[in-house]
Amino acid sequence: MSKPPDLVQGTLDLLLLKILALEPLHGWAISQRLKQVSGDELQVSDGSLYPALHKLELAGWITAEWKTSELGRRAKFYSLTRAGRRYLSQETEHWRRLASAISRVLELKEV
Amino acid sequence: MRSSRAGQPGLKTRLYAYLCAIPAKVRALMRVRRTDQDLDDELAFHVAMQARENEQRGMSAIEARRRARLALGGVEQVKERSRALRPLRWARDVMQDARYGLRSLSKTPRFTIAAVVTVVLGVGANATIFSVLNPLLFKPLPYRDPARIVSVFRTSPQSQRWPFSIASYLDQRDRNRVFEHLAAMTWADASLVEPNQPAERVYSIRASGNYFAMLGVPAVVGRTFTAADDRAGAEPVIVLSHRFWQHRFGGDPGVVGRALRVDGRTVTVIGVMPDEFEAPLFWGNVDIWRPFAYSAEQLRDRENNFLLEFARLKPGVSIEQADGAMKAIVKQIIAEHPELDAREGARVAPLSVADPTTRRISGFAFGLTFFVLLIACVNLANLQLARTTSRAREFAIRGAIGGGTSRLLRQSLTESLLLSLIGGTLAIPVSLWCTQWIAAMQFGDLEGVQATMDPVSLAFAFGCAVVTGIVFGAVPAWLAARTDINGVLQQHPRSSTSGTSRRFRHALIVAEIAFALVTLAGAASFIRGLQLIGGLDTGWQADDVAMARISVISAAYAEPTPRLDFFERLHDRAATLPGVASVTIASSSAPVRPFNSNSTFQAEGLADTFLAFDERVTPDYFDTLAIPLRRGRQFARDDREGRPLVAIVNESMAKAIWPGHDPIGRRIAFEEPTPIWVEVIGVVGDIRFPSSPTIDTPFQIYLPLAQRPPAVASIILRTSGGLDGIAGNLKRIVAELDRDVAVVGLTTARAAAAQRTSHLRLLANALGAFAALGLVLAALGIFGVVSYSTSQRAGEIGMRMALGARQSNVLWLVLRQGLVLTIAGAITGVAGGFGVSRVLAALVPHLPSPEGLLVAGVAALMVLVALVAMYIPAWRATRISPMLALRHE
Repeated sequence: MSKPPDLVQGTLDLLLLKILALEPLHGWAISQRLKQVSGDELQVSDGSLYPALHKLELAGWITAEWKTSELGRRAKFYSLTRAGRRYLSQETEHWRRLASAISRVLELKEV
Repeated sequence: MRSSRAGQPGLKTRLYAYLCAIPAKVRALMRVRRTDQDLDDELAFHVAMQARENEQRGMSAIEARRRARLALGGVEQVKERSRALRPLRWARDVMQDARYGLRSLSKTPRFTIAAVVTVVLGVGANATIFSVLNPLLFKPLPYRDPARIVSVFRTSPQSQRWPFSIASYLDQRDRNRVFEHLAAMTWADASLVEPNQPAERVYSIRASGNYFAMLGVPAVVGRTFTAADDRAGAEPVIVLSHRFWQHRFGGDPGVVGRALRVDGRTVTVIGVMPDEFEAPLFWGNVDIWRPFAYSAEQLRDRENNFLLEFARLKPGVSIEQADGAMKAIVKQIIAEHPELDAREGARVAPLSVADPTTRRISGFAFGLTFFVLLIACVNLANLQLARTTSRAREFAIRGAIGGGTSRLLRQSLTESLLLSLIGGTLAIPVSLWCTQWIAAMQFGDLEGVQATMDPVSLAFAFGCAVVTGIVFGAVPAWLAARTDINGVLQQHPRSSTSGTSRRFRHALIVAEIAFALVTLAGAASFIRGLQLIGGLDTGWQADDVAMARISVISAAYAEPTPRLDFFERLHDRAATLPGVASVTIASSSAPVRPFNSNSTFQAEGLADTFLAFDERVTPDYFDTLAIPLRRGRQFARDDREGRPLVAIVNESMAKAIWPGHDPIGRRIAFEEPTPIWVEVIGVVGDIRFPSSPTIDTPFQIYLPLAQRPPAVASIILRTSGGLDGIAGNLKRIVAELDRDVAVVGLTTARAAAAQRTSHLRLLANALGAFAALGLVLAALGIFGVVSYSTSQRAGEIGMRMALGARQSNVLWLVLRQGLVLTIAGAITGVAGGFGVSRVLAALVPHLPSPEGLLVAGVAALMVLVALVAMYIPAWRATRISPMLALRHE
């Protein structure tokens, strides 16, 4: 399969929650951080970032408030809610189990 | 992958998240504008930041912004995706669509008014007709399990709906194994007297003891009568109808047990029936029910057929089985009694409110109004199509800025649904008013008939509106969705009129003209048929004729002599009243409807028997009604008991039975156990019964009232002063003769005839109005399409005129297109029109068939109206200024 690696559905949510768990950020900073941490391996278009953020906000995992940004412009800063934090830890745990299960399968040697 | 996510967040987490999200949701719900503003700001911030970074990489400011927007993949698309996440998105979308729809409808008021009026007329007409016909055609009678109740009729070569005699009824009741109850009834109006008050006529039904048990409805107060009350010598009892109880006794429950005087006898009130039990559309108004309580002698009567039979089928017995069983039983009864006519039989039929002719005519009317609805729908579709086509550019632009195809489809659908709902809502009061008006005209003579629009009719009207909206919103929207955005934006709006859409609209116009023509032809055939009936010479003079029924049924008049004495004294006193030119007493009313009695008779020397109406009259009958004497003499005062029995026959009968011979002196006899021969002494002109085009026989025999005085008769007066002058006097002289005798239904012959055909004339008027409606709608449709295509071709027309085309050329150019469509529609419609008059002829065979010319005339009218409708836009096209038109291009 030569398709560029796309994000597995649902993992974008996980990544966003993780990034926001470190500190509250506005949308543009989140998109920069995503590019930084994942390099070119994960391609998240700016276009899908905002709908994803708004979905998380409506689900109650994150909350938003308008604050002045580092450059003096007003920006919408997102931060994790307590429920979001709990959800993140559950999802992280779930992701680890899933990833290790897949790895174990892939490491099987043919006999 | 998703499906393997075993670890859904726990309930507690989800609940907490839900609580956390409430502010965001509320914000999104309550402050749509605010969240929209937030979204704008957020994205603007993103674009600004990205642009700044791009600039730092060395891009020009403009290029930096452009790249930033591109990276986002379209700001509007992102916004639309975010909005789609919001809660109750659909509700807000509907509201938004509706708001937008209303705004866009209000921008094209001419289209909106045309469409709404179309819906109001189409739906209103249908709902009205449905409301008026519903109680006649579809509503079950208010009895227990009405589908199991049937009618049983006596059949003969002359009629399929005749009544039975008492003895035959009793035999059938005892022998059949198919009915739970076989009941019989007859209408027998009574006179009710209370102390110190004049006699009052009451509507009354006499019924067998099992009548109420058969219908399965108990009394609301007291009890109904049973077989125990239906015996000669039983204590006489009556049951009151709810309406009569309310009006006459103020709803006093104490009336049960009270004694009243009915027809000269003291009777006891034993119960009151529930309100809806009366069912006046089926039975007529009923004030009281009485048991038969016939004497032993009456129970043996096989000669007088006057009982209508109704029965409740036993569980598991079908109508066909019952029909077979009753045919066999009646055949057996006839075999046992050689004096009965072996050609007669029985028939079991489902119970229905309307008689078959009314049902058929009503169905026909309903079918025609359905065509009006079709025309309205076609019009609506056409309007929508024209509008959608002219909005192709708008739709393309909205598509380009992020409106999805489904969103655009929904917008179109919303607009047409809005139109339908507005129209449908407005149609309710319109239809309500029309229904009440028509019902008041049609059922005005019956008290207690519900003349309101019922919920079913309402649902029907709304259903029509909504289906019309969905169907005719979907088609234009589908066509619009197919338009190629780039093509439309790059080219002139005119070229967006796709071939499919144009052909579709033309097909609609052809259909519309054809439908209108069918409606017109149907209504015209019906109206013409009625005119033909009305124009027929009746053979008697109805002007200035008044009539009233007088019954002498109490025990005092059991013998013929007191009856004759009463009628002769009444006759002589009435003749002296002021304003009375001439008086006669007859066994039927004035001949606005067929005579009450017909029987088979034989003519001396001929083997065949014949059916004839027989009417008993006093000598001045023919003078009073101006029926011409053709041969022989009229009755004389002398032709009475003890003198030779005589008869007068009508011309048709004389010609048919004694062709080429003088009928005077011939003898005829009614088929009784032993024939009683009577001598023909005169021949009079034929008469027709204006309210009944179908009659069982053209033969009419008149007998002297004095030789066989009836118990029920009519007094018929030729007056000079109208009804008012004689009403009081007539009541007074009747009361002076016998205070137990009531004057019933005093009316004029004209009014009675008009009233008896009023439902037909009303239906004809309604049909005429609906046909006119169809014509107007079709004309509007043609006008709309031709104006639309003219406006689309304004540039072309301007060009032609700039190149020297004359007004007449332009006129013809526009008219030609419409004319082709009109003629195509007219040809289809004429075929349909002939079809519909055939259908009418088959449904109502006794309605005179109008000339074939009628359909041609209607078609000519249709083409003429279409031409006028086309001429207006065509004429306007000739006024197009070439310069303006070219600039428009």
